[in-house]
Amino acid sequence: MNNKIIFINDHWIWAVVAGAFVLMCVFIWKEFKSANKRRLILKLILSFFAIVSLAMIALKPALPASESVGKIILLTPGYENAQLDSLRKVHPGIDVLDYNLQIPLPDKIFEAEMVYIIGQGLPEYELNQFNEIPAVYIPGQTPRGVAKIHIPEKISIGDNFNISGLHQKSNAGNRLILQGPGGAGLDSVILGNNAQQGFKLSTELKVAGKFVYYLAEKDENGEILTKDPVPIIVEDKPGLRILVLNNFPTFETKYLKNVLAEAGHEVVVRSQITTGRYKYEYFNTGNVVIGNITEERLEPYDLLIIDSPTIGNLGGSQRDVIFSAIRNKGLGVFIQPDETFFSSRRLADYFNFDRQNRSQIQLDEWPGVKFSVLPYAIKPAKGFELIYPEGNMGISGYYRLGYGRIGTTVLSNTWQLVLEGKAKPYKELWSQLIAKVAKREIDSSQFIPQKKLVFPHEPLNFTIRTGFEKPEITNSTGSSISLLQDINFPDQWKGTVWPREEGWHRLTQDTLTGFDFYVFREGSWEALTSQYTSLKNKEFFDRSLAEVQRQFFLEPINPLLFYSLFLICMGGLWLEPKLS
Amino acid sequence: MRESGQDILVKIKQRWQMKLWAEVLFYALGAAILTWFLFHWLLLSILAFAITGFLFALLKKPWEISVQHVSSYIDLHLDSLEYSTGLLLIPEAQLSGIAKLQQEKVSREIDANKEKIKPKNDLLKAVIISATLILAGLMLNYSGITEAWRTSPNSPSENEIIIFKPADSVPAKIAPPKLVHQEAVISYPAYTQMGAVTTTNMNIKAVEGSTVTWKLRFDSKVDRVSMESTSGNYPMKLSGGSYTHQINLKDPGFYNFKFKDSLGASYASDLYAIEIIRDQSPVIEIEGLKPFVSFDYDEEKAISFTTVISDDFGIGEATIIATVSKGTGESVKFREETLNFDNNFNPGAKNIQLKRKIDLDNLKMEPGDELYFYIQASDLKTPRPNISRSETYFAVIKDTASIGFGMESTLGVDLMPDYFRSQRQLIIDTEKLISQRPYLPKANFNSTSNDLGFDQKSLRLKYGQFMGDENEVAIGDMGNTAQPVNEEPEDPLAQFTHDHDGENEHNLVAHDHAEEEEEEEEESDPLSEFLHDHGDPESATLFTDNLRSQIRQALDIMWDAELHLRLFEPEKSLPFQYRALALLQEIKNSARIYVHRIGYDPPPIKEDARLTGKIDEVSGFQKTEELEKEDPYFNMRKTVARLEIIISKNEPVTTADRNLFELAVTELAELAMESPGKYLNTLQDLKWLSEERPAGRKELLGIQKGILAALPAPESKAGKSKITTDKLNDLLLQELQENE
Repeated sequence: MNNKIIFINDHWIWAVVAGAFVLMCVFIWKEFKSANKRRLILKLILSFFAIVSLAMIALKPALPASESVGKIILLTPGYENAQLDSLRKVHPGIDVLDYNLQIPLPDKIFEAEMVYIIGQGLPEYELNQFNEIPAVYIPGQTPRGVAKIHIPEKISIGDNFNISGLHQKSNAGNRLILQGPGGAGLDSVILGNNAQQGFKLSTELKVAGKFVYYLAEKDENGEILTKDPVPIIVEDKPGLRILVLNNFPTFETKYLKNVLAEAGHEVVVRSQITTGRYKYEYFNTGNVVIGNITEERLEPYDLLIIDSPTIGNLGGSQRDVIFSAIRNKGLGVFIQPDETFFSSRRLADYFNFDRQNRSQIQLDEWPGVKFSVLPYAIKPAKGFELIYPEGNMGISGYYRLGYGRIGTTVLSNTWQLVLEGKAKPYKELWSQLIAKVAKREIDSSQFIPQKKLVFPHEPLNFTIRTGFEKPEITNSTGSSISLLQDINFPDQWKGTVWPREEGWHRLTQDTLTGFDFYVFREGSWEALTSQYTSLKNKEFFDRSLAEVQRQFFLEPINPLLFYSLFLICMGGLWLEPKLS
Repeated sequence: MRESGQDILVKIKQRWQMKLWAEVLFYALGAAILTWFLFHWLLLSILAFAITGFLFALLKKPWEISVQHVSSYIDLHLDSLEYSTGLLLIPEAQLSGIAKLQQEKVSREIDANKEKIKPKNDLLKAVIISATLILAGLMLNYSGITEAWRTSPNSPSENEIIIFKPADSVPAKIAPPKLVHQEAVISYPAYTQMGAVTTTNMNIKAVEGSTVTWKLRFDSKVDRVSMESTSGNYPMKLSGGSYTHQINLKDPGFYNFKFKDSLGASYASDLYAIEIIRDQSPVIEIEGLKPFVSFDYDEEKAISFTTVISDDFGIGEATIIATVSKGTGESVKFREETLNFDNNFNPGAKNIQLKRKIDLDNLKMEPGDELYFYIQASDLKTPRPNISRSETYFAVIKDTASIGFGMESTLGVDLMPDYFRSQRQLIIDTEKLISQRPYLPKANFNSTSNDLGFDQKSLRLKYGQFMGDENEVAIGDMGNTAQPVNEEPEDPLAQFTHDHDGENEHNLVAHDHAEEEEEEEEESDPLSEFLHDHGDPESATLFTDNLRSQIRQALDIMWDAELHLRLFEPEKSLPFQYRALALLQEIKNSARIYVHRIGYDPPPIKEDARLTGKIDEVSGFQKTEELEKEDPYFNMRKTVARLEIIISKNEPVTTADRNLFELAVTELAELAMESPGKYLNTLQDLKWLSEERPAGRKELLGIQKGILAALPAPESKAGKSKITTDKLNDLLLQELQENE
């Protein structure tokens, strides 16, 4: 043990020493001057100690502390007793503190030599308090419940809503149930007796809007153990504007355009009847001129469906227009092939075909439905994405070209499905093909929250991306939120909100755009929160301790000692004349 | 002042009488209340009170209690009065001195003891009995046993009473008008022969075409009573103090009542269902008849059967429709007749059993004629009866002329006897034999192989005939056939059939030529020796030399094939058989004539003139159409989304919301019509919600849940998906393009 005394106020040391010296001198001089020289030595000694104690009171001397002193265990929820006991064994007499979010951290912690944090850890926003404190994080037991979950943020009406996740420490017989708004059970999975079990639940979305679904866990007897909200924004799908150019009228186009028009898309069809004569059909839209393909005429369309003879007959400039629209405007082009298309290698840059001997095929998504195909398959290549794979080849797919896509399929005569009464697979097939290839709507503004699980009275840091020069964001109460511009990306802005209530919140940018986020009920998604906090703590405390390590640690000598010494000395000096 | 003894007696008498009357009253009350509990019928209860009261009054006779009774009763019970109470009743003037003294004494005594005098009565017993009766009634009432006895028809049971709830959330300013009477009169269509039914149950279940009349009476004045149903809104007419409305039931649906009180506050009732029972078609069952009966011409040709016809509301008509067909082929003639059953029945019966014996002779049927008949029954439904018919039954008189022909009427193929097998058939059979070898006993195998050998021989001989070989050597000579083939009588049908399996099976030679040949052979010409004899097998010139040698070769090979078959070695025989077949094919083909096919050879196209035809009359074509389908559940979807906001934000329901809910009700009602059990509650709650009534969170959640469950999944639709992009992304894409 190092016995070296250290003064806490050591920057005053010279002033104090000088003062004391002067005081001592004055005292000695005064004593020598006085007539009563009896017990001079005693008086001098007394006065010396009095001055020393005064100096000590000012300088605050301290001694290095013992090993356990200055070490603290901070208990956070979910800690294991075994961990606590082991720590106590290693550091006898160590301080144990309970972490409480409601009260500030005690001063002790800021002076501690080492803080052991056990359990799930501290909330993410509390962590920066430990920037200067040497601390070690020891994670606690894995929590019971849903520890990981994937929820799609925005999803369109009619799509399947799939949530998948991981359940920890499940009991056999318990069930996870996806409940709709109103509490109707939509899908469920029975849990086994596993340490970890993945799950996947899905349902159809029927209505657009902001909804809160629930993920409930019930035990064997149907008692609800937990019920956590699953917020979801269901959006209406905007219709597409589709231009169809055909070299001659085909049944394929005839059925396709009807299905597309009935689904509410704006469809314009131009099919050639004979030289210089065309048949124009406009569905759900007014008449527009489609002569030669120009950039302006192509601009409003999201998808161009074109048969291979037409694209072959197009002049070079018109083809350039189409390809530049794909590259720069994100236009989707879907090519209706014929037999010659595969051998002509007209678009060989994008599509590679292989001859295959089969005339019919079944796809996994529609068991029992036979699709007739041309005797080719698409060979996947770099930049090419398959929509329906067939082994390692593809039935249909698209090539990404700039912002846009160019796609095709080897399926033929799909309209016969409608006649066979298989209209559902037909519609599903084409809506998937078209949705994959069509132009995407570019959302100029985007809201990226730093975390998904937001609780009331907790800060939410977010980044927004917006085309606005100086975006102004207001929260649901109407107060504006200050934003910080990113230095590298001028369209990115950072901000923080402190939501107060659970439920849907909206940060409004202007009357049209806004960003929605859901604030969860305090205590919901317990396991998930705990897992997240633990992870964040691990990340935070995974640092070199040397940066914050204190060299040694002091225990100040109790100043009462010096006060009493001073009092005794003074008392002695006062008593001494009375005695003689 | 002291009361006179007589007054005391009179009082006691009155008290006694009172007690007896009270007894009677208790008994009567007990009986009356019990009756009420049992039957809930006030009149019956009063009757019970009167009768019991009368009986007990007769039994107890309270009016018979006189002062004399009282005095003798007191004399008996109070010794201190020394049997002298009678003195009190005698006027003082009539008494002697001692008597006066005694009277005075008794009077004093009685005054002192008047509290002790308790006239005899069973009041306690009466109270206990009456209480027991009331208690028993009460218990019976609670236990529900008595429900069945309540015969009062006009008191609707609890859950049948129409409950009107104020449709506005504003509290009513006056007491809401009360419904005092409700009924629905269901008049069934006349043909059902069912009387009108009056019911208080507003969920109507009636036969299609019934007329329902609703009558509602209120205790106070109301304004505008209407009936809202899925088909529309009908005001109810006020007649004789009740509001009535009449509907002829055609389709199932829902309805509710609505009225406004004199201050304009509106009230609405729950939804009620109208269920339609469709009139079923008659069911016909026939007993004791086979679907197909045939008679010989000399049999008794009669069919008798019983049929049971049943219908839910009564059968109108039942007849037998019979069709007789005469002749065959193109000369067939049909005659249709309607036959009646032997026994009559009254139209309107629900279940009838009818008999009929059909004598085919009476129908003037002859051998070969066929009779088809079925039973047709119709019910009484108006305007169009339901008709049902039984299966068709057949009866045939066998045609003596065609007996033995053995031709199935359904088979179009003229089956001829199997005289011999072709080479191809032999190969097939041989291969089959080889494949079955492990499963066949040796003896069987050998015999089959031998049989095949015989067949091979027959075939060889057949072909040998063409070569002029000795066909006198009968096929059956060496085989097992008892009758030689060539001795078979001439086929009588030969002229009318196309002989596939005949001698000239493979059309090796022109038909007439072969016949000539045979004729020549059969005639024994005396000049034959001097002539060039075609019949001589050696010099026969039926075929060219090449062909001859080929046939000869084939015959040789057949020999070998037969040999191996006879040796039970079908495997060895097979190669020979194949070779024989190949040769036979070649021979056959050699007799065919091939004509070179000449197609149409179009003149070459002048490419420069192509697609330059006149297309002036071909014009472009333009059409514009709005094909977008309206979502039939649009408002239901909107309702779900709106409810989510109302629930989560605790917002009040506005008028606009109510209009939306109203529209959603109509949409949901259509779905509910198909499966009312599933959606009726939701429909009802939603209806209430659209009627300005506040609903709790739980109800709203329930409605939302119900609508979501009812909504069908939307059709798959491609849509524009959103993507987000930023500068970094753009740069990356540009870079990728440049390096492409």
